Amino acid sequence: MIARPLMRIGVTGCTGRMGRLLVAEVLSSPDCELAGGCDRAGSAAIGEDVAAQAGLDPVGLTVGDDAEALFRSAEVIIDCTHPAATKNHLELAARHRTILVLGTTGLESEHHAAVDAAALETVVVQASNMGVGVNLLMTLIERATAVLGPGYDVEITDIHHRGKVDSPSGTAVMLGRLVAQERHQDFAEKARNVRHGATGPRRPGDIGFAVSRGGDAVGDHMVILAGHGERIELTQRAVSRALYAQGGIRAALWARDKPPGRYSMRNVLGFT
Amino acid sequence: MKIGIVGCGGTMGRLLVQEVVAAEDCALSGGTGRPGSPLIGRDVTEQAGLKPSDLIVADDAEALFQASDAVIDLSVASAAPRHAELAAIHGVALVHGTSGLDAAQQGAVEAAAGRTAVVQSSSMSIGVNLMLELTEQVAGVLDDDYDIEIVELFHRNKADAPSGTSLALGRAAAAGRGGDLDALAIYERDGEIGPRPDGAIGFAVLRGGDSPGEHTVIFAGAGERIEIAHKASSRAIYTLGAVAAARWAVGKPAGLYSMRDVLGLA
Amino acid sequence: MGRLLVQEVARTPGCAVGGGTGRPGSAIIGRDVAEGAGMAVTADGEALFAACDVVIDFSVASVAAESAALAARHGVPLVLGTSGIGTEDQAAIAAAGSRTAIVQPVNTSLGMNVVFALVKRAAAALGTDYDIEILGQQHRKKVDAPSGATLALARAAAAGREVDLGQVEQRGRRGAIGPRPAGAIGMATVSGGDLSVIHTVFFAGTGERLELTHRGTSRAIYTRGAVVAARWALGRPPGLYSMADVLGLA
Repeated sequence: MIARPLMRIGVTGCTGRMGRLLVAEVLSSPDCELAGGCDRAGSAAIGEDVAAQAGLDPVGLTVGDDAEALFRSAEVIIDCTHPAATKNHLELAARHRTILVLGTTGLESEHHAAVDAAALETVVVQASNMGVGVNLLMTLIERATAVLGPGYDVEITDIHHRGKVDSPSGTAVMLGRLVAQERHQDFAEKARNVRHGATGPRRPGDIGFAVSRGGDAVGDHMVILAGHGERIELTQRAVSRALYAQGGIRAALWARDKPPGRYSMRNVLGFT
Repeated sequence: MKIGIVGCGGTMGRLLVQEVVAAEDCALSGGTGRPGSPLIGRDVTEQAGLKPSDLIVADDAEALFQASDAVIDLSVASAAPRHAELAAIHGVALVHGTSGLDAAQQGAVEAAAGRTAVVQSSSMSIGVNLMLELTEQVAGVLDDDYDIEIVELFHRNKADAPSGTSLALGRAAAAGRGGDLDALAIYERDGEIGPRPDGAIGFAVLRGGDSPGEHTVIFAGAGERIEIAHKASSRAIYTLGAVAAARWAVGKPAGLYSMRDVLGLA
Repeated sequence: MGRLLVQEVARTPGCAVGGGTGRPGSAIIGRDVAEGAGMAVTADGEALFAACDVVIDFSVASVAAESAALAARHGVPLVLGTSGIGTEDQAAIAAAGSRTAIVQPVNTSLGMNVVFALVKRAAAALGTDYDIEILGQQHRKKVDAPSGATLALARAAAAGREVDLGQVEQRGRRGAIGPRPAGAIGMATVSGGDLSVIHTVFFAGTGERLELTHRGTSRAIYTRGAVVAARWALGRPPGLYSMADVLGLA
């Protein structure tokens, strides 16, 4: 049997926190090889060795600023950068038929529309959270919400490190949206982000959020389903960001033989 | 302030080197390793994953003690007497965090404390020490109507149970009530356990994943419970505590101190 | 439980208390089954099964087989919530289940049954690089450990992994225990106060952990579930059913 050639993976934003973890993960995976890494034009790291700038032994590839060249030479691009770069990356992926694993968070509807367009030409795995735990949690929450019904109030808590600037976290919002979807509700109408002072009784069907910021927590999320006389709590605690990078590689390898289309991390993990 | 690290090549040793280098008010005076170790002669900070410093890992601690204001020892019990003696001779503050000392080794540490400041503790984490203090206090305030249970969760490779910290928490709870842990502890529950004996202190041990250690002390009463929990997400908490102890100890009169003294809890 | 069940039935629309029995010689024989129900507690199981559409039995293991036999003889569905039933009695109950509908719930709370299903799903989805541990917390008077719910959670996890719990369970850890065997399912129990019942299943991996927790603060969750099971069993063809069948979670 002929062994498959190693999957060539390129990393955009390779000098960022996720970028470096991805570079490390690709280099340590026996099924992948690093096609290269790029960063935005003008970055101080342009010209440095891709692996060395990630704290590893040099591999002889330099950080470039030409995203197009990387999309052309790689089989898969893993992109965990910024929404400002997303539409360009999607277009490049479509043009060069490069598989794109899109882990960038904070996407708006225009980005999602661009994902759908690119998915006509190539494989796009779009996931704002690439970790196994959160994706399984999503499946469990859907099931629990469906079975328990509206008699159980849903509250979502999120605890993150002191440097996190958005609130609630993207993951917490996503979990809330899932609950709303399962209950055929409008999330925007049901989400309660602030409780302060004389709030009055809880409005039926509300999805409340409680947010804590402090220390160095990578991320704890809890979904509480509170009924009469009992309460169910589904919690995920992350201590390592490497999980997300591992998820990215897993998604890349899974996507290899798939037809063009839009896929989620749950497709990759088989958690539908 | 010049801080030296004995056993600088071990897991804790390397973290300590990183901690001292990162601290603004401290300077690393050097590091030692076990005689015969492949680390002897290597650059102290480079072997800890940092930029080189021109400090070389030595196999004898005498020069280290001469060059330091404080030395941190989280190495091995067998080295304790030598390090304690060197600290005493050179009037250097010693932070000693090794567990499992036998009577002779402990005696050597205590003897040194007659001549220099020694901070000795089995857990250098500020959070754990605070938790020990709080547990003893709460146990003293709440009587037997509140049942005390200690729950711990550790990574899958931890080979002993309960943890040293759980046992310390149990002792603190027992002490708070003027009792003896050995008489009150319940370590396992399986099958017909009978009703809970008054005043018992129960232990529940969970093992799995990669957690560096989480402990919860539950005071369970009628209609309410109080929980004190500590969750470590990194071993760095022990090194932070050790460096804090070193800072505190420099300039203190000779004596045997604990982390509670360092933290102002005694 | 019996008293709470009577109250639950009495306040459930569409249901009425048809009778109640007690242990022969017990002090409650002759007293009102429920306030204003106009019927007295008897020791006559035969009469009870003859008079009712469905019977709920959460009494003791020693009468479980007899209840099942009575249910079969009268063609009446039975919700049998008693624990600690021996193998022979269980065989008799199964036999009775071929002649009438018998629901044998391990736990009647909706929330706990949802957690059983979620635990099984999670255990099936996550490989053995996620260690499964179960912590049960119970009140000081409970004389056995692990609790039935803890064991049921462990069985759900084992089922998800398609292994036999008996091969992988670890109960109690003390002393030099060595590293944790891969695939083990550990159980630990906290006992104290009048703790509401709390069960947590941990899936502990490298870099992350999932926790599924159920907290029961009122026994009404069990009685409500028992009445739900009873209403479901009415008109059901003969068979031995679980709470998962009742709730559609199977």
